[in-house]
Amino acid sequence: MLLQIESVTKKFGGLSAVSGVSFEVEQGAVIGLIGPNGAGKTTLFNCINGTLPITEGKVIFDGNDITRKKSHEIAKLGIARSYQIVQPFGNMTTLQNAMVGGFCKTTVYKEAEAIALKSLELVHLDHKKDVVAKHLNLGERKKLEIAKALSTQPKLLLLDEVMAGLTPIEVQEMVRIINSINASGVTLIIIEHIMEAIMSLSGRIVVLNFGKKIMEGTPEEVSTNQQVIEAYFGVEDGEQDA
Amino acid sequence: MIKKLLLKNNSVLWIIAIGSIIVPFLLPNRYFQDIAVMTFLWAGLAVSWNLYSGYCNRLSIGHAAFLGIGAYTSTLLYLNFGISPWIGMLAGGVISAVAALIIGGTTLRLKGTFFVLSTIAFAKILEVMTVTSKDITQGSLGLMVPFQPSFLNMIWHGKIPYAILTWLYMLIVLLISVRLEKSKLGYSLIALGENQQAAENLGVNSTRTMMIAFVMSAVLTSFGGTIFAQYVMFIEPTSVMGMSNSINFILLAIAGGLGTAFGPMIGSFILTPISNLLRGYLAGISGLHGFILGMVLIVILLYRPDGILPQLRVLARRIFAKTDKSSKSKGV
Repeated sequence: MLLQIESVTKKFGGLSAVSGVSFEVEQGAVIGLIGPNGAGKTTLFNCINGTLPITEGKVIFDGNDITRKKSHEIAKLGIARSYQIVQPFGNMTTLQNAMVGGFCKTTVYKEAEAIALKSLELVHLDHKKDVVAKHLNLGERKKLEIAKALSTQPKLLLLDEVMAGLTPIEVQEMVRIINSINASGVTLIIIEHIMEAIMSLSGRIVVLNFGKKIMEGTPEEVSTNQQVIEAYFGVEDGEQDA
Repeated sequence: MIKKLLLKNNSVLWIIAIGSIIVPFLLPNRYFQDIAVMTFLWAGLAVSWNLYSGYCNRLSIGHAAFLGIGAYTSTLLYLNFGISPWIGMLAGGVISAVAALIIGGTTLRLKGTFFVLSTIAFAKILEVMTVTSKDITQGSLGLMVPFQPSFLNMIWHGKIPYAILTWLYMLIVLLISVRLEKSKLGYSLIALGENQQAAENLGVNSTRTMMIAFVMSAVLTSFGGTIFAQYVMFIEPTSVMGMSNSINFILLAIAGGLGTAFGPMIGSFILTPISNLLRGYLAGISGLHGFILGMVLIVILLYRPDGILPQLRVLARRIFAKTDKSSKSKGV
């Protein structure tokens, strides 16, 4: 197993944003992580990569217990992530952005540059390498977000809604990019609201609702599961708040 | 070809930096040569300050403290034990490094305003300590360096040797800064300045990165402090460690271009002479030079908030774009 999440709980004061979530990710897999807004998907990402300290539970990555490790240490071990709200280094060029990640595993300038260029090519952004990041459009920024993460040469990549806000054509391109990243040997966990995309990409899907895992299975199983449908569309009697 | 030289690398800026040594030789008298020395010294100091605060986007308003450590360490060692200021300079560097480690260890994790405030406090504490420990530092009476010219004492007749020394200091600091921009440390620092969270997620060890840069910046500033003391030959707590010096670091760097290797140098090349000349020629009305300097700064910050250097780059690009067009239309 590449990643084992063992009953991870994250509390903010009295509120449990994630409670007792467990699942495993095998090497080379693409796992979809879905759930309604506020289900705790991004919080779970933040717990895995050390952005937020975990209240209870354990995260084991590649044989190492990373529960209490800091995010830069986790990045070095091989987990990278992208943000839902893109976080480019606005005043650096696209290539320089990716090179920050490129320096994760080397201190040699040329090597970092080569790694960064390779990941820019993988997301089809190499033609914009000398553009200052703040001048990129949203689709390009989303790609840059992935390229930065890829430049750290991760074993596991966490993608947080990289397709949100993209046009249908851009979504198709993104699906191809994600497939090629997976084909290059990187394991992926993907948070996504665009169902067609996530259904076609993931081998297995984990569903969160109110911080709890309510279901795990193949895309077919998930899409016909009553609990999942209720979580997304509400119960039929209509007495719940919208 | 020329276009590539101008826009792509820093060659023109290197030519300016290296070529500037001609200036003090052309100047008619010691008064103007003194301005050249101060311009080189402050260029070096501002570039040193920029190594941490400029690239990482965290203002240190206490860098005069390191200037003071450099000045006082070498001077005290020289006066009390006859140790050459060259060695005193290294000793000051070591003490500054230790001070930076202690200060950095406690304050670098602070964000935004809190870091800025703690740097002010650090400089103020050091200034007050220097004033009150009269037995060692003579307090506000200050320390006088006796005029015994020799290379070993870092004291010379005339201004030219000092101009060469401060020019070399500036070049060395510039070289370090340019190297930094092409290194892992530099990339990490700039990324941290832009977005700490995102940088950490890309494997940047923020504490370590900031610490190294802060110590480098402190040590190089301290070297400048020793040179300052040996040049002025009189040091006194407020004139060395006071707020006005701390602010000068920032003004030169911001006016020239924050977070660029050559920006602070350009800032000093423009502002230090203006400031000194105004002080000289407007001595009749006290405070007028400060008023005019302030106005110049406000104009720069209002119209060119990125600083002068980035603006010069844009200008160069525009000029070349025009010549390109005209040459193309001629070809047709």
